[in-house]
Amino acid sequence: MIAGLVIPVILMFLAGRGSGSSLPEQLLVGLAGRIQGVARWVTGGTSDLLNGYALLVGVREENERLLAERDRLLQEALLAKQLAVEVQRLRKVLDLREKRPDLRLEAAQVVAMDVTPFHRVGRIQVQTAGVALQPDMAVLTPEGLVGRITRAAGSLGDVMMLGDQRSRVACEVLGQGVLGVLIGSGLPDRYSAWLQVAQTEDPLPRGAVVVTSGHDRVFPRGIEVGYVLDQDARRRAGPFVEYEVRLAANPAAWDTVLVAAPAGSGPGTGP
Amino acid sequence: MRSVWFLLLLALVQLLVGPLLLWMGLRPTLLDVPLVATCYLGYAFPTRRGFLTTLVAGLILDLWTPGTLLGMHMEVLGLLFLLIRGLSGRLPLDRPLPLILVTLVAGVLKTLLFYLLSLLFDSGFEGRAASLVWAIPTVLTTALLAPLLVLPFAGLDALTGGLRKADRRIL
Repeated sequence: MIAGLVIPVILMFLAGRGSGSSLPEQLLVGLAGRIQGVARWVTGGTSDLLNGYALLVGVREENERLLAERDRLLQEALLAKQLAVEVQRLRKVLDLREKRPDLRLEAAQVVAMDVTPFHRVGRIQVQTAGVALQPDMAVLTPEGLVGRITRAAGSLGDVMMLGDQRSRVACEVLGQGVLGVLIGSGLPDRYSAWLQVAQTEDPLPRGAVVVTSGHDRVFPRGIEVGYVLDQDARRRAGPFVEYEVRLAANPAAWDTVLVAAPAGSGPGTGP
Repeated sequence: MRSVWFLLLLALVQLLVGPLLLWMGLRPTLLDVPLVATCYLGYAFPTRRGFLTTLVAGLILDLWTPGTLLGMHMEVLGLLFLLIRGLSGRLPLDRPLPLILVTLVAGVLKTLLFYLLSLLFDSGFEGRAASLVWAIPTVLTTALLAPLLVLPFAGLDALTGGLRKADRRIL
């Protein structure tokens, strides 16, 4: 037992002298290094097990909760975006009403929309809040003219779009003093129309703005209709020249439109 | 064989306690498991076998601990074993309170012995007294938790049949 206490003192004495390279010590340190390597592997595995499994208990529930929270926030963000777009649209509608105090404009909700096989809006049905609709009322958006009501039943009305082949609108080219008639192209794959002007008129520049002239006593004057596309694509039609016009209003983008009474009259009130 | 199992368990507990304390955000050396093991050896093992087991445990610790003089743990734990062995006849160390007290005293002595032996044999030891303060949390925590830390060793002894019937009450 005394030897058990003396041997460590001798070892300490030898090690404390700084020799540190005796054969027994080298062997012992080498052996210890190997054992420590194995121990590090064991503890590393234990630590990995702890971090990879034991500490992950509850993470699944937390993850599911966070995913649900994320979905809820995404929905709220989407709703907020939709509301922002809706507010912007309604603001434009209100701006139009303020800009055109000469018109009696009533808001109408688009309740039905026929889509062509080419994903173009071919026909819409609108409904006002208690205001009786009449045929030939103009339907417009802040972007421009959409069409006219052809059939009405109380506050519900069918709208004939400007692109309809039957559509005719008296127009003028803004700033050019050129009068003409806008005729629907009837093409199911293109929301466009033809502007028919006299051959004697100078060629219209590309991008010229076409607005209603009010001469047909259906559409109020000065409502934007569209833009002349390519003057090289104009064609002759009897004594007239026809220019293709890109229509300004995209009815697919609006849920709320405005209905204007025919020039010289006002929209009637509902029963 | 009992000593071999004991040393293996000591190595295993020593391996697990450090990472566990680290994971809990505590100092990995907050618990002095070899000190508790020495206390257990002091009252549960026969003198000769317990002393040899303590020396081997000390040697393993010397090899395990970087920077320690070879023989330091052997000497300190050996002396502590003899002290505890002497006290075990007078104090019921299988009871929690005496075990806590003896562990506390042994912890203080161990710190002082390390300091003293380092001053004597380690030429690179600076001998700052602040290093003694650093050991206070370890000594206190180890002493308070000694009745719990001793359970794995007593459990192993009960499994391998080494624990005397009279000593099993600690479990």
